[in-house]
Amino acid sequence: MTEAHCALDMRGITKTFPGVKALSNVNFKVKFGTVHAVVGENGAGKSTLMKVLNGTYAPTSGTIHIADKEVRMRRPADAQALGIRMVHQEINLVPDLSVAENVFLGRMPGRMGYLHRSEMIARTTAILEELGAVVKPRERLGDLSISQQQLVEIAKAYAANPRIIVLDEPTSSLSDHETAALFRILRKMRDDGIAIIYISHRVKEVLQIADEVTVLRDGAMIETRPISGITSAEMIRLMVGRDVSNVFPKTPATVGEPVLKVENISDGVHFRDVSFEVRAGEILGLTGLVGAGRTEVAQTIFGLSKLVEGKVSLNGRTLSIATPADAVRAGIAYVPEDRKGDGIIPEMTIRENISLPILRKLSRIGRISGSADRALAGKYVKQFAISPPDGERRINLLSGGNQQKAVIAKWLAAKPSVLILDEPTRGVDVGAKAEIHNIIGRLVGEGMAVLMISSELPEVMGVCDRVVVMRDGRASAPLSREELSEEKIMTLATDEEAA
Amino acid sequence: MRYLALALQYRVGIILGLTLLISALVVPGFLGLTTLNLGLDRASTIGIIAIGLTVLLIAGQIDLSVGSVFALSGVVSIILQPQLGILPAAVVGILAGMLAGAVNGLLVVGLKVNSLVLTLATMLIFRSIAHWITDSQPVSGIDIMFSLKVSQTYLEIFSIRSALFLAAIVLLHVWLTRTIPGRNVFAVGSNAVAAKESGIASGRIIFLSFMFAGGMAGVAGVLQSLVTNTGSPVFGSELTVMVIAAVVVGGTRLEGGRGSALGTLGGVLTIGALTVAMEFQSVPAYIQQVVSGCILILLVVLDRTVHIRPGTGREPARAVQPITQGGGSA
Repeated sequence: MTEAHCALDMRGITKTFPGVKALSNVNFKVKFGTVHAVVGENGAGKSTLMKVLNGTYAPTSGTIHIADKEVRMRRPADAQALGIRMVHQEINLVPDLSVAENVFLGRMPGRMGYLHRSEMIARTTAILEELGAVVKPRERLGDLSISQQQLVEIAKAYAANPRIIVLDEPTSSLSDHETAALFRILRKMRDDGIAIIYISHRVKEVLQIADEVTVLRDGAMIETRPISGITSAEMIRLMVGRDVSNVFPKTPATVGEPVLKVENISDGVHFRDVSFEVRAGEILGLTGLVGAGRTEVAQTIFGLSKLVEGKVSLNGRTLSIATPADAVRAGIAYVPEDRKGDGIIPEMTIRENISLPILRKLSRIGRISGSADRALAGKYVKQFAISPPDGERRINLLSGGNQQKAVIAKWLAAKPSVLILDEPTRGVDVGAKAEIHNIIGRLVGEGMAVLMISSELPEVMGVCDRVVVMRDGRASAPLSREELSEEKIMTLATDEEAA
Repeated sequence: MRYLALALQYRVGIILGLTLLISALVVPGFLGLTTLNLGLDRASTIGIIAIGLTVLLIAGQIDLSVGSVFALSGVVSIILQPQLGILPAAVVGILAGMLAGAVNGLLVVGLKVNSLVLTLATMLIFRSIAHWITDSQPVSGIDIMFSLKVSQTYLEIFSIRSALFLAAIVLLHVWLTRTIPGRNVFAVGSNAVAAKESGIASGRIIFLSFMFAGGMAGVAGVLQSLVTNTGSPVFGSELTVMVIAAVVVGGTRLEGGRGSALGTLGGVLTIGALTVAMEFQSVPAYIQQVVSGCILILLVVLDRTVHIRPGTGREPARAVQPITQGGGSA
């Protein structure tokens, strides 16, 4: 084993883009057979550093050593040849090919171009088994769930016999249960002597899995430490450069009358007999494992899928919602989980995105009032501290957290009485997370009813007034804040008897 | 639902069967050898071009200029006959088709232009070149006897063209399903970014697909000219639409990533059978096109309804490209 060696040694890496210094003099060392976490807020330079490591960017200055040999990489293929593999946060696979073909994409076994299919499938089976992933090699990738696709992505990286694996936010689409499975896989790879670089926003996970942690802030390396000598509060302090006393502060609000009430609703496929109510000035959490039916409940309330049984009422009035347009008219707003796919229109500006649902209100005989439009966007950009504070900026140039704020603003402009948020802080850094929680807190303070779907237990426990846990399409009775504990939620989410 | 899914998987076969059945009932003697031979020969022109387009469509591109390349290659192969002799001229004709495809491919890959727009432009250009070099007049070949030989029927059912088409379909099937470059074409068409990051040379694959499509259009054009002993700049003006229709009826997805050789075979035979049946019933040509168009709409609608999965009402998640660039401020 080569444990004494340094797998990766990046020395004095500086990367400047026109007008911006993205990395300044970063030193970063990773040993073989360790899990090395890289943490930092969005914009801290994590992804730039990784793009330097995988050959996408050439550093402006500085050197990279792999297994004690200096290397130069001009393109991702160079990095791959050196045994570096990336697992991206965004799933980057071919939906129309099979699992096996994806695992061996670009390196399919064969002779003179003739594919050895049986060999490829046998090897894929072996790798998936070794990783403990329940996926069939012949299945079409596009038919798998997101979390299964994530596992295939990891299997693909592992199959290449890498020396260094970089995982970028690998758990953002995994439930806690699947995260545990992923950690088993990572520990196994670590014990095989692979150097694992683990990029995450989730401090708790880093404490669980990492051996060492490096904190980046504003393009500079702040510190590298063994994980045993650091607490989560300390790590967060290093990341944001200030003390964050309470990660998930709860804004007090007076809880009023029930606003949204669902009674025994089913969609016939994903969930049945779900009942709960959301009251004015309250945040009701909806949690559970991925696939428990949480998103489907929200989509059914919003008219995206069909209500087969049960009743949805708003302020005591029974609703019949067939399409999202009906839901919006009734006063329900839904901020979807897949921000990039469903939430924003990437080619439009912040202003255009925000005013999209209420253009009719902003226009007179078909002409949009430019000043009203700009005023509305200006108001939210300021109120939510969207950065950069420029309504004419194209929305896809913003960071994830700021995009999310704009999406929430878009729905608030329509003045709903119920706001449904599906994983509102997924893939968002600590600072932006707190800001989004602040915004939500302010809204319930003004008397809005909020239904928040989240997989992140600390968030659920910190922010919500009451929590409903779903498992296999069934909902638990709501838990009050006093009853909440991580153990209790996990039991309800996984255990057969306890529900 | 399972039967529906199964029926959908083999829908080309079902559509082809129905077309043949109805044609046989309406047209007396439709299933006779002469009719089949004629239908197959007719379908082969569409079919040979469709083979090239199947690969190109799976790779996520399209070529609208195949009809013009068809005419251009034919004209070239006839015009050069006096100087080069019949067979060398035919080869040059095919090479002209490949060259046209290479031009399309170079521009699409090199300039990163949308292939629909680009080949719309080259469609006009190639057609005009054919008009230009012939002074807009049809040209005749040097040996009518050779034409008769080429259009001969073997085993009472195969012409050289249809035999060539069927052999090429078999080769295409093996290539698409059993070879690494074949699978890579699917990868490029389905998710070009993922393919590229896995070390697949997407640009080269797309370029070669264009060249192949041009080459196949050239082969079809040259064969047409040899059979008719004529090269005409107006040949194949309605072909492109028919070919794309045949490929799409065969289940190849316009957006890329999905398609098969056997599907294309089914699509080509369906279109061929329809044309011949309607011709035998003396249905005017424009009504023929109306019927083909309606069938195409029907299929596309059917395809959509069933591919939205039951229950979820959503398409399975597709890979998304990262939108935010590294270093974006929070």
